[in-house]
Amino acid sequence: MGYDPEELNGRNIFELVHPDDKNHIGFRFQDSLHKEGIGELFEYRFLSKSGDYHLIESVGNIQFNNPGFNAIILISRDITEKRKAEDVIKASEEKLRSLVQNISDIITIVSANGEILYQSASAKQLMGYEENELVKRNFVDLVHPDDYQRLMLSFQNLIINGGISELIEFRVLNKDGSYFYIEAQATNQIDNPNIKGLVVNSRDISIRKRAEEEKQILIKELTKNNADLRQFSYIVSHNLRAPLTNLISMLNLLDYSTISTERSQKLLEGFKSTTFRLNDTLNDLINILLVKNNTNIQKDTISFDASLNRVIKSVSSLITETKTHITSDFSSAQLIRFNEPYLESIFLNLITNSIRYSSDKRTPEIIIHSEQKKGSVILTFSDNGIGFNMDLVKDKIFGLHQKFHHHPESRGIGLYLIHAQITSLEGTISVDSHINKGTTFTISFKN
Amino acid sequence: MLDVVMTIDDDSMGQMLSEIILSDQQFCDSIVKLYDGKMALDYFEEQSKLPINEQKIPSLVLLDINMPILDGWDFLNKYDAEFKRFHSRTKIIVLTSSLDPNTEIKAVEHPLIFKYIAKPLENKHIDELKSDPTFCQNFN
Repeated sequence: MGYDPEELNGRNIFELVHPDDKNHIGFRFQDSLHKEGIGELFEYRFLSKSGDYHLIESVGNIQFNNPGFNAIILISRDITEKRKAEDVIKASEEKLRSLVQNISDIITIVSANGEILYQSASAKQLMGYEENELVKRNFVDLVHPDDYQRLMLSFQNLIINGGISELIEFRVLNKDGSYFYIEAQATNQIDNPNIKGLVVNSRDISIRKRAEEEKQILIKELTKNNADLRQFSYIVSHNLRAPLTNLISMLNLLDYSTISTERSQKLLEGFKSTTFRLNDTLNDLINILLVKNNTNIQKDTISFDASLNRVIKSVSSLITETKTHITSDFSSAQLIRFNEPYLESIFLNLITNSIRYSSDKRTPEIIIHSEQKKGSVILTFSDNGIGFNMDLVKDKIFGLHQKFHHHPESRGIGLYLIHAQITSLEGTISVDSHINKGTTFTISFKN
Repeated sequence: MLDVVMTIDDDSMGQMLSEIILSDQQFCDSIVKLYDGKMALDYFEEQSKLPINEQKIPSLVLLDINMPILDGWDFLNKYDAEFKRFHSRTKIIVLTSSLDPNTEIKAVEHPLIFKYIAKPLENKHIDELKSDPTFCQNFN
C-alpha cells in the first residue's frame, strides 16, 4: 500500500475505504462488536498511498474479551492482481461458450463408450434438442441403422489411433423422429483432462445432399434421353439409307437415251444430281454421328509432318491443278497426342477449303506451323484466299450446314466435322478472317 | 398473268422446279432468279436507279430462308429498311424446306410476308393464289 507503519497509526480505517464499500464494511464492523473470534472473509477497496484503490481481502479476529488486545485484528492481503487474472479467465470462458452456442455447427463431446457428455445449444435449431438434452444418451441411438456400421468403424478407429477422424456423412435422428444428413468430424481428446472424450463437430448437409440426389436423377434422365436420341438418329440414317441406295441403283440402270422430251431429260438430270446430293448429305450426317458417339477415341503420339504429307499425297492432283503452294514448319512441335484419322481429316478439310475458297487474283498459298504453349500444342493454318466477313459468320462458322459462299461442292459440313473431332479430344479451334486477304485457323491440342 | 416473279433460293434445283411450275401455269412473263439475299438487295438497288418505266420490279417474290451470305430474314430486314417504295408493288411468299415450326410462325406473323409455303411448290399453290382476291389485285 506504500504506507510506513507510523503513518496509519491513529487513523480511522473508514477514511481509507472506498466510499462505495463504506456501508457494507460499517455494517460488518457493527455486527462484529457483538461477536468473538475469527469472522468471515470480506472484500473491499482500500486507498493506497499513491492514491489508487486496491482490492483487499480481509479476515477479522475479534479479541474484545482478550484484555491483551481489546481490539479487532484484521489480517488483509492485496488481491487486485489475482482478481484481474480471474476476470481474464472468466471472460475467455464466456467467449468460448458463446462461440459454441452461436455457431451453426453442433459440437458434441462423446465418451469412449459412446455416451454423450456435452451437446451444444445449436442442436436446437437443427434437430430440435435443447442444450445438453442428449447428455447421457448413447450417440449410436441417434444414428440411422444403415449408416451405423460405417460410423462405428470410424469411431473405433479414432479411439484406437487418436488424432482427427476423416469427414464422415451420416443420417441422425431429429427430435421429431425424422432423419437428416450431417457431415461430422471428430477429434480424440480422451487424454485431455478437461474433455475426456471425442469432440465431434457436425453440420447440416441435407440441402447439399438433396441437390446431389436431384443432380443424380437429372443425369440419369439426360443419359437416357441422349441414348434414345442416338438410337433415333441411327434408325433415321439407316432407314433413309436403304431406299436411297435403291434410288441410286435405279438411276444407274436407267437408259437416258430412251427419254425423248427435253423437259423430261432435264428433270431426270435434276433427279439424279439431287439423289447424289442426298447421298452425300446422309454420309456426312453418319460421319458426324460416328464422331459424336465415339467416346473412347484412341490417342496416339503422331507426327504432324507425316500426317500432312499423306493428306497432300491424297489430293496431289487438286493441289497441282490449282498450283497451290503449301509450306509447313513443325520444328517447334513435331508430335502431338491425338487421333491420327482425325488429324488427317483436319488437314484434308482445311486444305480443300482453302483451295475451294482461293482467290483467282493470286496463287493459292497455305502456311502451316506448330508451336508449344503451356501444356498445349498450337497449330496455325493460314491461307491467302477470299476470306469472309467475320461479323456475319463468327457465331456460325463451325455450325452444321452453314454455308457462306455459293460453291457447288460446299455442303457446310467440313468445319463442323473437324470442330467435332477437335472438341471430342478436348482441343479448341478458332478462326480469324479478312475479306480478300485470307483466313487463319488456330487449333489448340491438349498435350 | 404477272409480269415479273423473283425467286431467291440458293438451291438451283429448287429454282428449276419453281420455274417449271410457274411456266406451266403461265403465271408470269419473266422470272428473275437470284441465289441469296445479298443478290436480291443488289437487284433492287440497281432497279431503283433506273427510270420508273424501265424498272422491272417483281409483283411476287418467292423467298427461301436458309441461304448463305444473307439469309431470308436478314434480306427482309434490309428490304424493309431500304426499299419501302417497292412494298406496295410486291408481295413476298416464303418458300422453304425448313421443318422448324418456328419458321412458319415467324413468317405468318411478319408484316411483309404474304404467305408461307412449305416446299415443294406445287400447282395447287399457284391455283390458290390465282383464286385469292387479295392476291388477284396484282393481276393485269
